[in-house]
Amino acid sequence: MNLGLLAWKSLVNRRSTAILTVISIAVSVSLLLGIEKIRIDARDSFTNTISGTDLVVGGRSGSIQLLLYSVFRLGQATNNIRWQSYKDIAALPGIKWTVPLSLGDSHRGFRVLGTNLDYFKFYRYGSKKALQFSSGRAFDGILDAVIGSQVAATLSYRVGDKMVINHGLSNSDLNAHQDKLFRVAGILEPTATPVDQTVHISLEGIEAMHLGWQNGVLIPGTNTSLQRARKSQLQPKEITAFLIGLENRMTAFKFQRRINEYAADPLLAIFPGIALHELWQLMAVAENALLIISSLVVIASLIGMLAVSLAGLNERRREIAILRSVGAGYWHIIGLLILESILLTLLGMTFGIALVYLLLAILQPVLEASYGIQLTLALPNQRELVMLVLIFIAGFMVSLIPAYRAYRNSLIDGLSARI
Amino acid sequence: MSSQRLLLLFTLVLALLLKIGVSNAQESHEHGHATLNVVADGDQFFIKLESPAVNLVGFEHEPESDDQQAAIDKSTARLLDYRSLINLPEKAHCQIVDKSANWILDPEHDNHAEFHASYRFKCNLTNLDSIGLKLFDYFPGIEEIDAQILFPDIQLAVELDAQNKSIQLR
Repeated sequence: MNLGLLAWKSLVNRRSTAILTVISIAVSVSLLLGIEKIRIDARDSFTNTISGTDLVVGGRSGSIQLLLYSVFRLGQATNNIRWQSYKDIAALPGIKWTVPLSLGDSHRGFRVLGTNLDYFKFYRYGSKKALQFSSGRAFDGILDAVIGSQVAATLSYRVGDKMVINHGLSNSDLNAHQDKLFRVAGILEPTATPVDQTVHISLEGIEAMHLGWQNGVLIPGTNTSLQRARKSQLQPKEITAFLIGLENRMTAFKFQRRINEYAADPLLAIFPGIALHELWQLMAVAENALLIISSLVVIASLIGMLAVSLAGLNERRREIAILRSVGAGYWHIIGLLILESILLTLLGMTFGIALVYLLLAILQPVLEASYGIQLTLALPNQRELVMLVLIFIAGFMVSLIPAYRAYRNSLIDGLSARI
Repeated sequence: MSSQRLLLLFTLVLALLLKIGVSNAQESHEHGHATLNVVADGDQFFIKLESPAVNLVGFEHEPESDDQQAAIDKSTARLLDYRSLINLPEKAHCQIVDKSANWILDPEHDNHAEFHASYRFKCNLTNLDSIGLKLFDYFPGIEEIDAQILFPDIQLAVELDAQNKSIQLR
C-alpha cells in the first residue's frame, strides 16, 4: 500500500477530528483571502470614483477630509466657498472647466448634490468614462432632479415621479421641504461609484428649496410658492466645493498655490490622486492590522491541527508499532505523519478558496445592485498566491513536530506499548 | 450606508486610534524641510524645489558680508548643476530643457528667505521609473523633503530623507 493512500485511509478512520480540522483551516483561509479581496476591491472602487479632475477645491480643512466629503460624500464640510470666490477662480485663464458642488441635504437617506449641467459634461469616473443616462435627461427646470441608479432602484423611482427633499441630513419628516416637490428628470446608468447613491439637482434648486427657511426651520406663514421662488434671487450664495479641469497639467501646482493663497476666502485645493494616496498611507496601518489578525487566525487553526495530531499520537502508538512490525521503516512513519498534516492543510486551503469564491459569487450581484461595489471574481493575484504558499509551508512545518514525536516513540516502543 | 463606506470608516477610526498622522505637503517655510513638486505631461516633466535658505546657507537675511554673498552664489551654482543633484534612469533618455535657481527674500517676513530651483526635462516618460535625489549629500541642512508627484498614471505624496532619497514611480 503506498504511503499517500495509507495517510488518506488513516484520516478517513479519524474523520470526525479530520473534518473539524479541515473546517477550521478552511474558515481561517477564507477569512484571510476574503479580507484581501475586499481590501483590493474597495481600493479599486475608490480609485475609480474620480478621474480626469485635476484639482478639488473646498473650504480650508484637511486634504483627506475634503476628498472624502466632496468626492465620496462621506462626512461633512466644515467651511463653504463663497459664490463670488468660485466665480473668480473659475474665470482664471488656464482653467478649462469647473463643476460646482453643493452638499448638505438628503432625500430618504441619499445625499443631495446641487450642481450645474457641467457636472454631466465634465465629471469622469473609472478610466475617463462620462456619465450616461439610462432614461430621461439632465435637469432643466429649477425643481428637476437627476438620480443615481441605486436611488432609482431602491426607491422605485421613474422619470416623472415627484420627490420631497429633506433639509440637512436627517431623515425625519419634520425637516422635509414639503412645500416644494422635485420631479425626477433623469436616471443615470450604474457607475459603481457614490454617484449611484446621489440625487442631483441644480444649484438654483437648492436655493429654491431653502427659500423662507431660517436656521433650518420653515418660518410659519411664509409664502414659499414656486412662483415666488422663481422671481426671487436664486443665485447661490455659497457652494461646498468645486472640481477643476486645467488646460495644461503642468500648471497644476501653480494653480494649487494660487488657490491656497487666495486672499478673499480661506480655500484648500487638492489633487485627488495625491489625497487618495495619503488616504491609503493612513489606511495601510488599519489594513495591516486586519492582515495580522487574519494571519493569526490561520496560525491558530494550524496549531489546532497540531494539537489534534499530537493528541492522536498516544492513541496511535500501537498502530505505529504494528506498521513497524510489518516492515515500515522510520521514514515511512515520518512520511505518514507529514502526509496526513499536508493532506489536512491542502484540503482546508481548497475548501477555504472554494468558500471565498462561493461567498463572492453569492454576494456579488447583491453588492453590485444595492451598494455599487464591484467584487471581481478574479483568479488569486500574486500576493494571494504568496499567502497560500506560506500557509502550505506553515502546514508542512507544523507537521514535522508530530512526525518527529512519532519517530521518537517508535524507537522506544515495541509491540508491548501500553495504551 | 454601503459596506465600502463602513469599511472605510472602520479603518479610519482604527488608524486614528493608532494616532497615525499624515504629512501635509503644504507646509511652507519650516526649517530643515523642503518641498519638491514634480509634474509630468506629454513628453516633459517639471521639478520644482523650494527650501528655506537656512537649510542651504545657514542664514536668511540680506547678505551682510562677501562670505555670505559667496555662500549664496555657491548654493545657486550647485542648484543649477542638476546632474549632481538629480538622478534619472539612463533608459528614459532625459534632456534638460530649462533650469533656474534663485535666492528669494520674502518681502513680507523679515529674516525669511528661500531658494527656489526648477528644472524642465524632456524624457521618454514610460521609461522613467524613478527619480533619485542627491541633494542631501550637498545640503545636510535639508533633513526632509515633502514631495508631491503628479504623473498622468501615478500620483503620490512621499517624504524623502537621507536614508530614503529616491521616488519610485513604478
